[in-house]
Amino acid sequence: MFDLTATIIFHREGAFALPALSSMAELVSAAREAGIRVEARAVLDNADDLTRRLVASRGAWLDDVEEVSFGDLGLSRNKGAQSANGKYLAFLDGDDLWGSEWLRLAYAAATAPDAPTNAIWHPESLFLFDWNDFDRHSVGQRPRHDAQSFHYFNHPGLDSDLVLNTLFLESIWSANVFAKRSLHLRHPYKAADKETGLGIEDLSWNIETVWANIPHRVVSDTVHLIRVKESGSLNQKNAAEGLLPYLPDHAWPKLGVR
Amino acid sequence: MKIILLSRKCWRWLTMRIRGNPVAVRINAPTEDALFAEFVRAHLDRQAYLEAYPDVRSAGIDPVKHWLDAGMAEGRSFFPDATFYHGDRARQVEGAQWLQFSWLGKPVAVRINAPTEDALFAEFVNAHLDRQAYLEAYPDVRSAGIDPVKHWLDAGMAEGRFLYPGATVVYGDIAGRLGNTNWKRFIWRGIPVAVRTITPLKPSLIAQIKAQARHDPTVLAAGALAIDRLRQVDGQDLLGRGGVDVRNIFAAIPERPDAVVLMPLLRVGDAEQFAANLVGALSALKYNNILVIVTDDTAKTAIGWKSLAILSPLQAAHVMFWRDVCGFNCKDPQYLARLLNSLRPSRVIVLNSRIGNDMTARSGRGLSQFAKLYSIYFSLGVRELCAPAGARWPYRTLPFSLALTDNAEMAVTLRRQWGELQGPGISVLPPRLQPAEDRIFSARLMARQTRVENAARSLRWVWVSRVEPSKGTTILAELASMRPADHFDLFGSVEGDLNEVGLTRPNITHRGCLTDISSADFTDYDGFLFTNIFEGMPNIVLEMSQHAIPMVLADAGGVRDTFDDRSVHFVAHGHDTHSAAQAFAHALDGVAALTPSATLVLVEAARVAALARHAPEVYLKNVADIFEVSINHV
Repeated sequence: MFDLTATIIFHREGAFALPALSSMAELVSAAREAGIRVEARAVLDNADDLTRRLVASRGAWLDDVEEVSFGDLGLSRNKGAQSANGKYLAFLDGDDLWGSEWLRLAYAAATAPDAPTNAIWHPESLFLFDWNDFDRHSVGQRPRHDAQSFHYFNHPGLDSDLVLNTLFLESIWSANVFAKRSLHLRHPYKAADKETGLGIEDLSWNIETVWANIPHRVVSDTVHLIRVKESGSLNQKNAAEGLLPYLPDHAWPKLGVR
Repeated sequence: MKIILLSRKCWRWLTMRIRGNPVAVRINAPTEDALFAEFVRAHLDRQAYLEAYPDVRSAGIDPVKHWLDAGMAEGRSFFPDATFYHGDRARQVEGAQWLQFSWLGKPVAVRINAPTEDALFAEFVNAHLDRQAYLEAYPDVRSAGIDPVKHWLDAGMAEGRFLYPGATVVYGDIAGRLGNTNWKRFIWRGIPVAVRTITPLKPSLIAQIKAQARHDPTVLAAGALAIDRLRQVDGQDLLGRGGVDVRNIFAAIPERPDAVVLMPLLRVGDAEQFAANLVGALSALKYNNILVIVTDDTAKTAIGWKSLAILSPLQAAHVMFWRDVCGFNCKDPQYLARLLNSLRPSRVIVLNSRIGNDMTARSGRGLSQFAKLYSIYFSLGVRELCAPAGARWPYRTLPFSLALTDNAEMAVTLRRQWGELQGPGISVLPPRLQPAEDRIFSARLMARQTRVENAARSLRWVWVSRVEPSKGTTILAELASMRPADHFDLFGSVEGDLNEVGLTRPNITHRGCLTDISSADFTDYDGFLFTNIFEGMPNIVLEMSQHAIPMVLADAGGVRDTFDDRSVHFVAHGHDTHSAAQAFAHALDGVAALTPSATLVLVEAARVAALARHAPEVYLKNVADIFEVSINHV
């Protein structure tokens, strides 16, 4: 039995799979060194040959690699949740990196005596880094004014009405969450469905869980590093396809209140 | 005696320490409100206040009381030696130079001998603007030899130039709507400014970020030493982060609507009238709660719309001006789609709204899961010019939105062009006509008879529309030159100058706008001219059919849906202005040659035809059918 399962999801990340796997290996090692029993897995969803080959060569240390053909991020995560053996699950995207403390501190926060029984944990901050900033590189202590990399903060103690209403319009958390496996099985991600025009798996999942009164918390001193992509990101795809988030039947915005 | 534990500096208090705690004592101490009032009394420039507000003087109101009751909230400042902040801004100020008060339970901060609002902001900019980076980034400023601080304050801020790397500056009314967290707020030349400054990052986070560079150096592409000074955004602050004012948007909607109508403008126009009549009909059916989202006009640009009779049905709905509430990211249809997704109305109607049509095109599939969608298209434009919605959007909206038009010709065109697309279909909703009462029409008939029996009359023609080229003004100008003995009177707003549209001949007179066509008197005219070939089914033609006046109409749009050659004189448009004018001239000859009895037959036939297709009860039944509402709800 594992304390947690870290599952990295790959599609067609190609070369980006290499730093992701290195970062994940470091992340898993840091947690194991802290005495946490970590299962490390990968799910390859319709992966291309390059990604498959890189995961095979650099991911030999993984406990398991599973191949699926959903072509859907949410369904890939659901499969990862079903196959995992850990009590807690951490999902990672195959082109990102993670501050090495993420798993250790998230597990500590989730298992602290005063922690909520069922909570969803997010990193304190995201660092969105942009390859094009090499052209806007600063050698000093001040960045170039046109640098595109930026820091994104998840704040604890959120105004609940505002958060509820904000989620109808835009996501406020990233997809790489930490939560109990049982919670993931109870609240599986929904597939993007071009026939109904509904999708956006992480936003839909966050809305569903918030409206199920599941607390979303922030793990202090943790950071995820998100690669800003010129094209092909899920957000860009969602915007292009005009998908709308799934909403629970009882989820309604609070209206008429300033 | 009242003893208050104080942790701040105050005056007129005896201060001491008891068991290590600072204690201030004042005998017969006044309340917090009285303390503040006392301060105001000592510092307010009464004379300047009374000079500025003679109403206060004439009413004999104590300026101190008036300022406390109203002036403070209105931002009136008459303190030569002090600056006041109240409410949220008072909580934000820092430093020993600020005295903290409370008034009616809300905090007030006062800075004695403080600089003005502008000076405070200039001081901030002077301290923070990165001069070197600014001059490097903007060679125009460098070559002009302008002080960067002065340039940024005078122009750079409004132009969106950076203050310093990593800072986000919001300038304008929206700055006042940003949350308090991490935004510093100022006033510059009377306009709110908010600056999202860089807060120190935790060393542990910086270390973790930098450590990842060994896996991928791209992490530090912006500069290893500069990582902690990059731009910062707060996840829940969607206004600061993406320009979407969540709080304001949802606050502007009082309750969940049954139906939502998106239209761009609240002006006098056929499209607006069509929308208003539709809202009126839906209200009369079962839709008690209709939300009208005006996407292009603001409350300011649409001021006075409530006084427009043709828009009066909209007053039964809740009207929201999207640009006023949405923040500074008003053009992204994604947010409008997600807003409707959250509200889940049963009907969504888009009429000529660019962002509304874009929303339907992109997210119509998802929206159609809970709502029936309607996209209203009137025409394809004049010879493929003018780019109306009907030319641009149908193939992208038809798969999930019913195309609704006011004329059969457009419906035929849409079916011919895109009919194979699977979707809810294409329907015609003839516009609504408010008929003249029978007794009024009878009186108009008698007056018509009197006029046409006068064979010696000089011929006068009336033209009613917005005076602009797309309405056929060049045809009218040429027609007037062909018929110098006739007189042509124009009614309608002028877009630009009459000279620019060529309406300068002495036999053309612009007589201003008609506020109410139904009650206007057209007895002294021999016919109504309609030269526009851009229209779907023009309301003005329907309205003129109630005036017992012969109508000479361009044979375009949906006019033939309602009228035929027994009720009006049609003019087939030529391919050029001259041939069109000649055709109109020929038609005017035909009207002028009619016998009195033939004239009366013609105008009565026009009225009958209009009522058969556009009478209120016919219109309501059509709306009920198209919107699938039982007529029993009426």
